[in-house]
Amino acid sequence: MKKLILIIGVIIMCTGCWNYKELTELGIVTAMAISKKDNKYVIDMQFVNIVEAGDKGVPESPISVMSGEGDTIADAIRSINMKMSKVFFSSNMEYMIIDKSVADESLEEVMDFLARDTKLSLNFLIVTSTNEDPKNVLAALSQFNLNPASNVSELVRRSEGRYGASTSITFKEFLAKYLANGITPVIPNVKLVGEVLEAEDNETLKESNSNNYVEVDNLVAFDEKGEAIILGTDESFGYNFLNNHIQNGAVTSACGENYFTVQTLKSKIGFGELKGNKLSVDGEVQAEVFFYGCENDLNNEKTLDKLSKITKKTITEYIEKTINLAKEKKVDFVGIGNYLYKNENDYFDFDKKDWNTDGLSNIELDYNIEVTLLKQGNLKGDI
Amino acid sequence: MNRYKISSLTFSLIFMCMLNSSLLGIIFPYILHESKTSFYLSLGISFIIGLFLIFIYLKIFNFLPDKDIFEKIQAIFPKWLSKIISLILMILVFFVTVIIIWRLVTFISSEFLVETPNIFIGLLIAAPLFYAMLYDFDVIGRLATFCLVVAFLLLMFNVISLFSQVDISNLKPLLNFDFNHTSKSVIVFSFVVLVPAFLTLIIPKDNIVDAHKVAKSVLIAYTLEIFSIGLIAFIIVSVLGIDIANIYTFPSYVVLKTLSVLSFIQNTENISILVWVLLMTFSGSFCLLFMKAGLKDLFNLDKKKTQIFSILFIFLPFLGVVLYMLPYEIYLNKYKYVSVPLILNISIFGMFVLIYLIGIIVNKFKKIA
Repeated sequence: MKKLILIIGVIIMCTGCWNYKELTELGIVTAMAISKKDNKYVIDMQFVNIVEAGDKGVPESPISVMSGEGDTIADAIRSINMKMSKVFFSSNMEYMIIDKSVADESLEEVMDFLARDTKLSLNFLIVTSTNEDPKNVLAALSQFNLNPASNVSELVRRSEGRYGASTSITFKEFLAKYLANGITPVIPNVKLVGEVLEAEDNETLKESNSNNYVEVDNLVAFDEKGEAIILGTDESFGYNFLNNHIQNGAVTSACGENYFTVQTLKSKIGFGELKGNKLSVDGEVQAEVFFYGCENDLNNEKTLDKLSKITKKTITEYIEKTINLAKEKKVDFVGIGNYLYKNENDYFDFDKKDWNTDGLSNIELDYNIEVTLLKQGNLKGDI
Repeated sequence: MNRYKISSLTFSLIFMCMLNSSLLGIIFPYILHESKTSFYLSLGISFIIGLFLIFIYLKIFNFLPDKDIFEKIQAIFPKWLSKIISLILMILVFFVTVIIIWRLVTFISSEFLVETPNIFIGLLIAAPLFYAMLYDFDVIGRLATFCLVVAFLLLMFNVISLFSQVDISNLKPLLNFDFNHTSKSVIVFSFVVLVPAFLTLIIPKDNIVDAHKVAKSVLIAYTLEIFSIGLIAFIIVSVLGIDIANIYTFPSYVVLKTLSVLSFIQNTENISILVWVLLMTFSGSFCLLFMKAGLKDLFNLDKKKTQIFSILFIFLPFLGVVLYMLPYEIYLNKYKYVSVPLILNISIFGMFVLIYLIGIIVNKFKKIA
């Protein structure tokens, strides 16, 4: 009896192997783009060519990009199977391009599709490409990574932490902001530099000075109609400072006719107390001198104080510009409304009124940001 | 009287395992939907109400300490009535078991064995349930220990791994509750979480070696369990945010999808989620054993052959109903998955309380007589 039970048990335990797929049968999706053309959804998928890349190295393209079209996103994806024999495996997807054509009311359908799919992880990045056909970005190869999708996702992450003018947002964060009160998600914009056909060509990888690559551009938020609100470099810095996304960001300020750059070591800025309509922006930035082109002696304590004050002014201006843009466009991508919803729940009725049109413009901000310079590199003062 | 003996520690571990029977697909989505970021308030009130329910539980447990719940029924009521009451109790427990296992199988089929036919997943889960039915409560006690050790290790791994993603601002606004929603979630939580643990009344007090420690062990187990539930709810809300947690059927699984340890341990949610698979399978096994013990008491099935018959008598209809229900997840998804177990559990609780109250009255009359 026990043996019989054991045999039945073992047979049943093998149900995990039901309908199993060999690795060669899978089309491993590394990136994807959703757009709309003529009221139909267009899906572009970047697949990694495991066998080809593994056997022969770079000479054959490490990726393939396939496209499908349909009335729904699901139709568009399944239509790719008319051209491709593989079963899609999307758990390891690195990023998704949300085109501006689906940033209007179609975005709800996109979110529904992505959240409903049980195989997708929540950790892939969301990007957009306002000036480029998303397919071109997917098709571009990288000189730095055999897998161009990894290159783009690392590019976005690095430029956020080390430069500060971009930001990385995962699908989880995007969805949370999309669903939350008083905030609109901001996504990084990527663009293709150079010629489309050359960027897709393997020969490009053989050149040491290629002019064809994918670059992280500015940040973008979309309003309800799907219109792109482009954040310039200053506004992008302001957004990242306000959201504490900057790790070792570089802040350049003018000192007379010259410039100096500080590198942030620690930055913590956020909203504080609300008094009437006045909301305080409090924070502290610790930094080191990264580049010094000014005339004053850096050994002098007063010079350091002055540099701190100038940097403080620069950072405050970044944030001010960001908030002014949000007010001007009536789209709260900064998250003031969300902060008030969470912390000053009685201030605004988010259920009955529209924060972007009725609340955002009434808020005034009071900036209290402190900058401390802690290091100055190898040199004692300046040369 | 049953011959097996267990310790108060094993007993409290079984009790603790049973508290987990409905958390995955029933309690978490429901309390997060109703209480939103005020879940901790619901949890706090539920804890206090739960203490009151445990007080009642211990009263019933200490009443006629040499008898299990079915023997208590037989001792209190006339023979014909005791059989009817026992059968009703078993039918209620039968459906509670069906819902626990149905929820587990629909979870597995919708989240990670998407392409496997439901019938095979049902059979996959049914196999250990059937196997566990061949044994007695002392064996299942050891199983409870194993389940809780594995569950504790996985829980710690998950919590530590996800801790870096905790965003305290996701817990705000702190007080966005109203009486209606909070009271609903408190009632559902108290009954649907605690009443399955009442099925441990199938173990007579005298079968516990150190029975005097039971009250303390059960209270500690209950407190630890509420703490764990609070910790899991805290992680779900602070990592995902209440808006995301609210849209998913299994938020405790979805939160594990974001797990990333040192940037290279990813996609481990299917291993981490074993916590629930183990605990829910255990709960199902215990419920089936409860019914088996009921049939044994009711019809004096002491011989081995008749025991096999009783196992099949319970198991086959159970399997049939679970397999029949599997395709219907979408119809039951919204609120019936809460209201049905709530009604069943309140009914079971009501029956236990009535049995106890009538038992006390009958005992008093017997003493007077």
